[in-house]
Amino acid sequence: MGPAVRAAAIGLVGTAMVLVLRRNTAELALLLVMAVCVVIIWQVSDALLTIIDYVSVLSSLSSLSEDVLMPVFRSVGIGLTARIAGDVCRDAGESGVASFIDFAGCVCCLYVTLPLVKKTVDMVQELI
Amino acid sequence: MDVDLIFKIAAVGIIVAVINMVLIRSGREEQAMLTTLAGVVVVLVILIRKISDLFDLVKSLFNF
Repeated sequence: MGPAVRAAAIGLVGTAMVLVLRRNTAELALLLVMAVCVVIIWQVSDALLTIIDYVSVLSSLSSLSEDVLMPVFRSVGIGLTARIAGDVCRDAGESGVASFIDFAGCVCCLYVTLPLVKKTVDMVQELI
Repeated sequence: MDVDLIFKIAAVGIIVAVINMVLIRSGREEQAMLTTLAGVVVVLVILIRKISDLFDLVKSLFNF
């Protein structure tokens, strides 16, 4: 519960500060938004690490190979990064750049999960 | 990652905003713009390391 409360508090305080800064120096307000995002994610990084470790343990219990699980982790990471960057750009009024970041994230996710798709297709071919 | 980062950036922002206002009122728009630019550069220097740390964290967490 601690990290969630801390993240909420940091978000609220940060938003108040951004509102103060936005009136006179909009550029610095955008940078402050980025800082708030970084600090909030840092607060929950320990919990995220624990969750990922446990998912790895679960996958080893179910005898899933690393090749199957890695694309999932990687696409979550790409999605997280692209979403944060896109939302910051959208906040700054640059929805065009945000769309391109989203597109790049989609392309990278597809690229990362391509081995998984290939494996599935091979399996289907073997079945046929 | 410390919460001090947010307060540091907010403090720089408020100081830059005040200097900006004073300079604009005294008719020195160019210097006001340069002050804003300097503030942005200072905050970027602080922030870019932290963003790099965040991306490194995401890389290590999701096994890139």
